[in-house]
Amino acid sequence: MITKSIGITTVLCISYFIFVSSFAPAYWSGTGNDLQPRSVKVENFLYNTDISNKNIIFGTSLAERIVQDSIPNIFNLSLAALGVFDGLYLLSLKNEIPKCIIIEMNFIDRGFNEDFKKTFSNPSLTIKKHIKSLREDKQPMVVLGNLMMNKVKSLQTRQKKSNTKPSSQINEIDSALFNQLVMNKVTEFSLPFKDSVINLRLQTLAEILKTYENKGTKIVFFEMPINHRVQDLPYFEHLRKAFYNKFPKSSYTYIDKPDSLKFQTLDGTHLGFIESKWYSSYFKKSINDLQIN
Amino acid sequence: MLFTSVIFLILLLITFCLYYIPIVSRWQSQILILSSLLFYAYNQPILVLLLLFSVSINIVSSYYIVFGNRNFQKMFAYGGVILNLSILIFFKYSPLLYKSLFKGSLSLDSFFLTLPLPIGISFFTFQGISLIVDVYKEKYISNKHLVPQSFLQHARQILLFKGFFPQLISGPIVKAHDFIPQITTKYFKNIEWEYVFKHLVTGYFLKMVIADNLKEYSKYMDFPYFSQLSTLTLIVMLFGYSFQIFADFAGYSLIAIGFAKLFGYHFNANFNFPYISTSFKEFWKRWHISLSTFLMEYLYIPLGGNKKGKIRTYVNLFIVMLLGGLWHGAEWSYAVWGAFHGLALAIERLISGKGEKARSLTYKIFKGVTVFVFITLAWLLFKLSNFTNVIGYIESIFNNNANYTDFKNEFFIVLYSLPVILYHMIYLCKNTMVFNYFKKIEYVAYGLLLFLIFHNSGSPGTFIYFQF
Repeated sequence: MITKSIGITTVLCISYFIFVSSFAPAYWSGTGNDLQPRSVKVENFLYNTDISNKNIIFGTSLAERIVQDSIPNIFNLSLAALGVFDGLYLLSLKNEIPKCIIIEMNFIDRGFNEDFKKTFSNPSLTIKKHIKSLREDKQPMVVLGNLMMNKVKSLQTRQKKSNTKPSSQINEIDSALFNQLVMNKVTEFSLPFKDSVINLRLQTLAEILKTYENKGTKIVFFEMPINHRVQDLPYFEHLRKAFYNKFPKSSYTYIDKPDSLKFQTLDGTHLGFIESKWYSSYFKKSINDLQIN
Repeated sequence: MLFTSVIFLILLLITFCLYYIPIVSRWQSQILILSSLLFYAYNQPILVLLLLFSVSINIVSSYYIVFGNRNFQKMFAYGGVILNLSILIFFKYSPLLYKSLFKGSLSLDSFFLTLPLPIGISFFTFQGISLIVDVYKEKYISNKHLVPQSFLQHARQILLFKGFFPQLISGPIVKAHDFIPQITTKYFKNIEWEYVFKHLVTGYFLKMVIADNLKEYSKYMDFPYFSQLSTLTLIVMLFGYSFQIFADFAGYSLIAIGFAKLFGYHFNANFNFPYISTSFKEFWKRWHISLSTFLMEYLYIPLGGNKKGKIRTYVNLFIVMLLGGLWHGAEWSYAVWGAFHGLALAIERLISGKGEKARSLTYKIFKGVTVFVFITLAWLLFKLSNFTNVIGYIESIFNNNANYTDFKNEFFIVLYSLPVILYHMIYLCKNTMVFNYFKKIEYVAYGLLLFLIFHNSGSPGTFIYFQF
């Protein structure tokens, strides 16, 4: 029975590998849960992207909101629940030198996520590189599920035109909850950054960036806009000062915050749908102005 | 160390190879003990000392119950149980007691509220208690089968009994009278490969494909996410969590049972298709069986069981379930969860008629669905340990019917829940032609499960029951 089962598994694995590598249509790809787009992004970056002439954004879930499709020659490697250092770790696995590294400043306190690193230090990195069928966006239940979903949705749209708006609009958020979330952030960021932590992080960052600078990569820093009640709290003020000390404006390029606007965000730090679109345009313009495109 | 991690598989492979080398077969127990200590020490090495301390208490007390002065037998038995419970209470419940009674009034916040919770403490403490009670009472097995004359041999046996890695951190809770008599030399030729294979494949599938995928959706049951989600999403997520917790824990238990068998030890089933239950009583005979039988043997019966009148039976049921609830976690919500089940068992006992068995299939299905819905509702207390959030979640179910739903998450929750439903359905059909046909081609099903483990696993996560 065991031999037969393993035989079936082998046949299924080989067939699926051949199908995905040679015959699968473009739509044979998909994500299910909210974490999978991040994994797919990472795998795309590692296995499918030539970065030698690209500008790469490294950041957190804040910068993840920048819509990369609208900005040519950009790869947005901002990773939700992770940070700049995890992105730079992925870059180190590529052995390629990007044209420009664009660093989000907001949450530089997040160091390397060791669990995340572990997922790429085991053989799965090599295996997934060569066996496409094992990649996150090829999970059979997810792909089939998405196909079924799309089918049902297309039938629904035919029946009635959707009158729903994207749920991430600020005016749909319960105001009491929103205020509570913002106040939580106010409390969280009312204390300045610990010097020992920030110095360590910025030192590590400087060392990593130096290796790329020496090879001709341009370094750009930027700060994602956050709620106007949160953005100038001691934590962020302190953070800015530390950045300007370590990476002086005279030697490094900074994309300035769009000061004219008061951002609301969804929870104090993450931009909503419309704000993301607006900031993406602003970011694109800034990139063009800096002529690093 | 996770059963799903590469480091575990390496440790397992090394242990397995050494274990069955004929020339070292006399050290089989020592090999398993060493491997188990490495397994336990991997994340929090210092806590191995606590495990060893707990084991020492059981070694000494059980040995002296048998070979010590007869006048002190009772003292060793009670002392052993009290010490076991003291360790559990100190590490697991003192933060809760401190928080509830003294928080802010004493300057011990930093001590009590940062106490580490040793992984598996609830499991190995209960196993220790089972040893002492079994030895003291001799209810199930004679002492001579549990405690050998040689203190060293006894120490080795107890260390293996409490520390054996498949069950060390999340059960099943193995009782002394079930495990210790099994400690003999094991042979490679006696491995029941098919049993091991089936348990491991099903267990890993439930954990890696079902539970690990569902957990990515159920995380939105937490505050503040739920308050923005629609009624449909909240209901689907709650049922999804019900399937997730089953897949997670039953999956772990199956893996543990499979690995134990690989080393020649038999553990009884810990789950027996619990969601087909048509009563709470039946549910507790099918869910976490090792815990419910432990509570039955070592708490309910000693309290008097159902032998001391109706009222006392209801009270006993309630007490046992309340404590069983608290065993799961040091939060009052677990006590409420236990109390809910205790109350349900008592009420069920009160109203159940004699003609139950003669009822129609429709009635049984109705009862099964009702029991499942109530059990699922109660899991909310597991997921959200803060009462305000539990109430908030229920309120949101009633209030958020106008909120936006894109059906994607709901669809995937249903998709990943389906195999668990199918798993129960197959069992329900066990006396039918369909089941016989399925048995003939079950190798196809196992082949498919193995394929999905490789291609459709979720991101690795710890087992829910690790925290208990």
